[in-house]
Amino acid sequence: MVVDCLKCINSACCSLVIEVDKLEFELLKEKGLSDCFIKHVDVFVDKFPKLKDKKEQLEENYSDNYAEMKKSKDGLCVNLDRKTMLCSIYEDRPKVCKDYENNRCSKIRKLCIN
Amino acid sequence: MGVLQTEIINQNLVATPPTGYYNIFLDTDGIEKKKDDAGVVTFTSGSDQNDKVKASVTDTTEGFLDSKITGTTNKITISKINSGANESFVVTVGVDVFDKVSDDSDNITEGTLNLFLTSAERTKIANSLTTITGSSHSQLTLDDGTNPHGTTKANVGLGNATNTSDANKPVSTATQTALDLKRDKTAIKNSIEDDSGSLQLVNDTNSAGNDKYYGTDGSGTKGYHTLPTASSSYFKAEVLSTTNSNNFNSNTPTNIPDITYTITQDGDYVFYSVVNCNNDENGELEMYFAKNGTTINNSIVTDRQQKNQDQSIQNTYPVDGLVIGDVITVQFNTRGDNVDLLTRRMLVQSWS
Repeated sequence: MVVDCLKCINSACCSLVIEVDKLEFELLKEKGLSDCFIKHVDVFVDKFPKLKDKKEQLEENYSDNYAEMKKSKDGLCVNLDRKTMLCSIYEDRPKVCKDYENNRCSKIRKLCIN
Repeated sequence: MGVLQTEIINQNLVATPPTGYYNIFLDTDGIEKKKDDAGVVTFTSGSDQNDKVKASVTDTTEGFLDSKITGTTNKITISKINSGANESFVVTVGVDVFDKVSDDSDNITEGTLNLFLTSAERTKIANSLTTITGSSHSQLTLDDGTNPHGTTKANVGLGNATNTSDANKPVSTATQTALDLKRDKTAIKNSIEDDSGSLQLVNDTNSAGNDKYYGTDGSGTKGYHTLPTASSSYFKAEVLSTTNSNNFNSNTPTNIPDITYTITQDGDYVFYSVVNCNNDENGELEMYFAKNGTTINNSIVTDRQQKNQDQSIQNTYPVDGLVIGDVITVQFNTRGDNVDLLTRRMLVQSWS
């Protein structure tokens, strides 16, 4: 079932975990979107402060999942326009968002509803 | 000197003896006077000059006179010293006079003494006197504060002593040698003092911070510099498995296959693991680390799985105090779901 995103009523896909690798993060950073992400290494050293000075080497672990898109308290992407329920950075959205096929929406909706 | 005087009581001695000599055996009243009567039983009738030295004389003089009574100078002479009823005689030996005075009370002049001492004895006495008056010892002292014998500090074993008060004594050579090794505190610049609980260099306007040190940096500049970052040995290892393991199913944390690391050096570690998988159900998947088969419960991460979708789950957790031989594994709790395990990787990091 293909869903027309413009007619989407709950933006279920925008509740999924969106991760980018370090290369994509750097590209999005050049577009001024770095604040939309939280780096996994920062989450880790906040939890274990004694490893703060090891951050550079720990960052090597997160090459593939370098940063994660932030979510609001409602569990949806911070870039989701709550009035239109459309992506506010649609043209510059991460690659995983671009690759998403809305024929999966039925599954996501079910997941979200559950 | 021995008592040699013999007093003879004369009752009827009437004949005129030669001058200076008396015959004490005259018998004028028909009664033979025995030597006992005169108390001179041991006297013999020989001439005095030919008379033997009496045993008492010999004994008393302890033999001194044996050699002295020869010749005329040292002859024994008996002299009358009283007349009448109490007429008495004195026996004189040489120049000395034997009287009734006890030896202890006898007055003997040195000249007299010399006459009766053997040469060896006089030498012995002379040596004794030399010792007494010598410079090595003073056996006679006066308590009037004077030093009549000229006793020196060396005589009493204090040749190195000086009459200096303790306060004015100079330091010893050893003490001075030790002092020469000390720095003059007035010449020390920038000495360290306790400045309100923290060390502060005197005359230095800068203050050390928590991460500062005072010294010379790499460019030769003296002062406070930032402490260099402690160098550490960084260790990293990787465990990778590309062998799929299908239908892994568990209801408790259970080791997943082919993703195990054995510690090769003691230290604190950080473990990172990422597992690609495919769940046959929509559900929660728990991931843990385990040490020697025991689940580290605080290492749990959960991921909401989408049915039949290839997805990944990762976890990072520090484990301190590991020793050689400890085994670290990755565990899954699929909560009854069948999960196909795809490529999985564990990174191991340690700093020492």
